[in-house]
This record gives sequence, structure tokens and C-alpha cells, in this order.
Amino acid sequence: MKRSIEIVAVSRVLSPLTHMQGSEGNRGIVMREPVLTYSGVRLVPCLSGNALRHRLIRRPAMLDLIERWGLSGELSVAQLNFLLHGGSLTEKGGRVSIADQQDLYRLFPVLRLLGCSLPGQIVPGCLQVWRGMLVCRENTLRLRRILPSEWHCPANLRPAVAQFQDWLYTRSDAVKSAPDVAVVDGDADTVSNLMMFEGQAVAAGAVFVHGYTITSATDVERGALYRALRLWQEVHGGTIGGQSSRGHGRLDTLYLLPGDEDTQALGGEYRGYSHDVRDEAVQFLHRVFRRLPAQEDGGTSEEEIAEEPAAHKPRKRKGKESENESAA
Amino acid sequence: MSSIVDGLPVLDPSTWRQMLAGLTDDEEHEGWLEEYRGLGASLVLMLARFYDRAKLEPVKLWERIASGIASACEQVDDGDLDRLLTLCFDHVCASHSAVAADEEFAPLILDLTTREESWKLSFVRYLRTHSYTVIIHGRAMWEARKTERKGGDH
Repeated sequence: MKRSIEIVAVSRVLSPLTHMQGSEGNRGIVMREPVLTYSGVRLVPCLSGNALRHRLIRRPAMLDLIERWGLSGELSVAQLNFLLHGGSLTEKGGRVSIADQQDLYRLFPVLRLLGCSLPGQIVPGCLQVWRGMLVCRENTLRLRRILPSEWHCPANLRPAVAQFQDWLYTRSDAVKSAPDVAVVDGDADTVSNLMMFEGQAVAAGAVFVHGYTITSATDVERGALYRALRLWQEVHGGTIGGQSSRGHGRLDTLYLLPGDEDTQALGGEYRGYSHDVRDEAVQFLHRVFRRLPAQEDGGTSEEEIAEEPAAHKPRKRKGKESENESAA
Repeated sequence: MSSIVDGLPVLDPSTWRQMLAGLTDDEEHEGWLEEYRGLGASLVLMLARFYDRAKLEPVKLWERIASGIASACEQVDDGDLDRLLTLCFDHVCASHSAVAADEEFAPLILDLTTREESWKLSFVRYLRTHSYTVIIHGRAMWEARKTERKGGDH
């Protein structure tokens, strides 16, 4: 059954969130967006839809497939870029194949949601990922528009500026931390390894509202989304932004969605479906990225030879040919 | 092998209200900035009044007051203005007897320490984030007071 729905996600920040937009000097600055308010334009922290798409959906969904399909160590960089980062157009004047697109949608439901790029064509998705909106005074009107009318959003929310914090970390130097085990070879006066780095963060306790609009997706496709979101929360730490290795960016996310949408059942249905199409999906990957299985005699198929990039063709013999190349 | 079996956790109205409870701000009402500016300047004036010029260098008056307020704000994260004032007085080596006997600033101290908690938290945050302007306004108040007293002496 195909269905179009909107899902609202509400994420509480559990640890300093450093979703950055750049730096000013040595100081990292959090991602912010200008918001027009009654008192002027204010810069308010936000979560980019680009980051949310990747961290919450594409990455956990694809790592799940790679793991369950036993593809670890089997995929080329091009295939991994396709699965984990959406791929890119690498063929000039690429042909558009409706058949390939339909196969892609059927074999990779999550890509029906997110879209991607095959080597020769862009493939659209049906999922819109909203930007993450900070629950703060400046966003009051926007939040009231997004949230259901019965979900009260008060007028006296804290301003965005009250939800920042600073952080400062140090990378030390072995001269200070382990001088007793260093080799005495006269390099003690080399450039110090000590470095202090700092930046802004959105403080723990802040809340972001974000969400998803799915247009005409099947049960399996919606199930792919729900499974990805659960994997992100339960297996991949539920983080967004940088420095998750230092404990930053943990979110606890809850959802508002139609009451008759059984996300558990649909997630399970997708899991079973993806198991069933595994072989055909892997074959599709290898065909599209021109990694057909080797011939039985260990040689390379004619199609592989014909399609090999010039850099991989056998080297010419040295000698006469080399002289001719020099003369040219 | 990942074994996710649960569905998406659902947000209920009660949890939403709990989330909002920590995000509402009754502190910043209309005119709050003017009130905090005035009280912050009065605090600086009061510390300048009780600054012990025998123990501390007179030329470092404003620097000492600024560092005292900053240090006190870092130590007081719960809006305990009684403690904040004590730390500030201690930093300028104020005499206990002089503070206790002073009738001019007693109402200010009583006012600050009997406000509600959210106001006190907000005031501490104001002092922390407006360290330079607090001193500027306080010094302006100090100079105006000196001029007033000189005029009264004629």
C-alpha cells in the first residue's frame, strides 16, 4: 500500500552539539540560520537537512545492508560512495534507463526514499528531510506552524543565545606527558605538539524539531526509513554533528506520526524484504558498476576488458614503441 | 548482527511539556535589561564603596571589582545572590562592620536576595555576559555620585 505521510521528530540534545558551519580564528562556530523576527534578523542554531539525511538515514541503512548482506570487503570505492554517499555522475552523456531506475527502487527501497546518482543518471527520491529547528523564542512562529495545533508552543521560550555553551579541549605533548619513556636523541626542541582548540556548542537540554515528508511510498519503503532511524538511535549512538568521538552530539528523538502507522511491523517487513532481494540487489550493484563476476577459467570477461579504464590496460613493451613516443 | 525490533518511540503530550519546561524563560520580561543594568551598576557602586583602600591598591579598584564579580558568577550557578554578594565583598576586602552598619545599601542587598529564583538566575547570567558594561555603568554611577556630593559641599 502506498502512502504519503508527515512525521515530526523532536530531539532533545543530551550532550554538547557541535554541528558546525566553520570557524572564526581558532573558534568553531555552530551551524546557524538567519531568522526574521519582530525584533530583526537573528542567527539561530539549526541542523541541516543534508546532515540529517546522511547521519540518520542513509548511513545506518546502508551499513545495515552491507552487514546483513555480507558485503564487507566486497565493494569497490565507487560502490561504497554510491551506497553511503549517494553516488555521483561519472559517465559523460550518460544514458537514462527507466529499467535501471525501477530495478533500483525495487531492490533498494531506502534509495527510493533518498534518491541517488547512478554513474549515468540522477535518480530522484520521494523523501523530504526537514531542517532541524531549535526550540527557542526566535522560532516560535515557525514551530507553531509545524507542530500540531493541539501541541502548545509557548511564547516565552528561551532565546537562542541562552542555549549556547563554549568548549575547550587540549591535545597534549609527549614532552609533558611521557618524558621518562622518550628516547634522548636531541629532538626535545622540535615544535610542540600542544594545541588547544575551542568552539561553540548547543547546550544539553536544548530541543530541535525536525521531520520528514514522504510522498507515495510503499509499506516496505516506509519500513526502510523506520528501521534506519531506529538503527541510528540504538546502534550508531544517535549522534549528529562533529566530535561524537568526544561525546558530542547525542540526541534522544521521539516522533509524532499517524496513529495507524505501525513502524515496528513495517520495519520488520522491510528487513525481511531486503533479505529476499539480496542476491539480485548485489548483482545489480556489480552490473551498474561494471564489476561482473570473473570467468570460470579465471580470466576477465570481454565486457570487463572493453570497459576497463585506460589506466588499467596492459603496458606496451618498451623499446621501439618508447622511441616512437619520444619522437612524438 | 543488528537486531532492531522496536518501532519508533512516540512523543506524548506529557513528555513534550517536560521538554518545554526547561526551555521557557520567565526571566526576560519587558524592561528586564534596564532593571539588570541599574542593579548591576548599583552592585558595582556598592563594591566601590566598600573597597578596602588600605589593603588593596586604589588604582586597581575597577579591575578588582570586575574580577570579583566574574569570579563570583562562576562559583554561583544556582542564583544564590547571598553567596554572590559575600564572594564579591570578600574579593574587595570589605569590612564586615562597615557592610553591616551601612544604611544606604541595605535596601539594595535585601532587594537582591529576596527576589524569586528565576530572576536571580537571570541576573547572575546578565552579570556574567555583560562584564564590561556593568563596570562602565557602575563607574558612571560612582562618578555621578561624587559630583553630586561635591555639589552638596558648596
